[in-house]
Amino acid sequence: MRNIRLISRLDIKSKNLIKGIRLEGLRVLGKPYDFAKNYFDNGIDEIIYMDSVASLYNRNTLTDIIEETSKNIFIPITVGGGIRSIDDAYSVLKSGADKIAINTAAVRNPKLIEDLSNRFGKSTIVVSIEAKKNVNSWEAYTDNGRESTGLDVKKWALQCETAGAGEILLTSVDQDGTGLGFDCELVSEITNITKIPVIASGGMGTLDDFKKIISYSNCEAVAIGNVLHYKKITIPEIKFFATGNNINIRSS
Amino acid sequence: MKIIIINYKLGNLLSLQRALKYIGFDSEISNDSAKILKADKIILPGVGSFPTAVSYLKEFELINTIKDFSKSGKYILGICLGMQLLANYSNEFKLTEGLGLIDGKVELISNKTNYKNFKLPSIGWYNIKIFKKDKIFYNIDHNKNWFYFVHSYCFVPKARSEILAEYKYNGTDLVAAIKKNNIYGFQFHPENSAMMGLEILKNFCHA
Repeated sequence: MRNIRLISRLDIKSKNLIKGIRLEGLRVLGKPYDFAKNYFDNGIDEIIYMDSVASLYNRNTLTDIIEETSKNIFIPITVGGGIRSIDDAYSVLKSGADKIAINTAAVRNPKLIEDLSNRFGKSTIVVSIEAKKNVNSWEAYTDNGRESTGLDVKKWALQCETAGAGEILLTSVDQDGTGLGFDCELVSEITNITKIPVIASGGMGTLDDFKKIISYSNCEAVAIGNVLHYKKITIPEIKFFATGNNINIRSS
Repeated sequence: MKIIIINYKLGNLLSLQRALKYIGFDSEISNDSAKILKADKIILPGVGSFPTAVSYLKEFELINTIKDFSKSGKYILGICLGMQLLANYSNEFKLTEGLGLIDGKVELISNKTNYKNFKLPSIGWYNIKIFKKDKIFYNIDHNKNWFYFVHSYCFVPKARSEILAEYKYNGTDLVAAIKKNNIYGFQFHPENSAMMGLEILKNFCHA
């Protein structure tokens, strides 16, 4: 049984932590750093910051958040949202991020994955795939689940792997923010064909959802949002539950 | 105490510098050979590929600098790719010569037990099994500890006696920490391993 990572995903708009349902419809929850610090103190394994506005206009605010985080929080920090070039990636990494996540820019130019991977190392590059169910399969979306790409997620995931991605952050657009459980079938299909680690994201509502996604798929990590931000479940509760259900996870 | 983090363009140098600062140690990020040789301790970080790393080390004329530093008896710490660079060679992409400070080779992690759904890179938090008593592990629980790993290649030392600790990745034993005289190497990232990682960094700084 593989070791599972529990990751907190924080969607940021300007200075604020926000959360949406199905990746849209925003609500301001507070300062991202405060939430991240609390999660770190409570044993979260990694932090993902997604800049949901993703415009150059917001860059300084984002790098300020990354800097403050990396000065006090000593677990891997992944940052995504609007990274379009090697320079963008460099500035995010330079402010203290350990990994970068890309989506839109990669869809427009898959060679960017290769270029970033060569420059910064494969394990630094996470490709974020937003998947929306489409009859018998899933289609990849960009811009927080708003723009369709016509790409089949299975094909796209393999393409990203070949291009040099180190990990895939796989988010179900349908389930994200609903608290109704992960899209287990999606994650299962993708983790069965890829050889790089996949982080399952979107839909966690109960402890059983957590257990289900791990036993049903071969994901290596689970990213959660609302459930933590709205204090529905705590990190120690999840880890205690995991350990009690024979899931290998970092615990105190 | 002068600690220098070697800057050869690879690795999240700031993370490391901030971790050191947090535990009370100032450090300088530099690729200036003269400064490096005068340092009390040096850390070789690294995230990326072995051949790229070696080419940057050559570009900044750091290979002999690091080798000379190692003769001084002052402590060196290699982290992740930085640890792997200590080896004789790596076959990542193409056969590339390393620093040769700890005999051994670097090769792709292999699935020794035919574990189903074996993924690479190995990314995650693992318990390390400590074989030898060493001051670097002071205050670290030998039975229950967690360190963050992220790598596809692993260091295979020629002498097993130079292995300080190992971890098990889905059935395959991999080197987690090595030591030869004044040179330490960690495959995990202490600067990303929360409080335990900071503890180990502190032990290195006090060594």
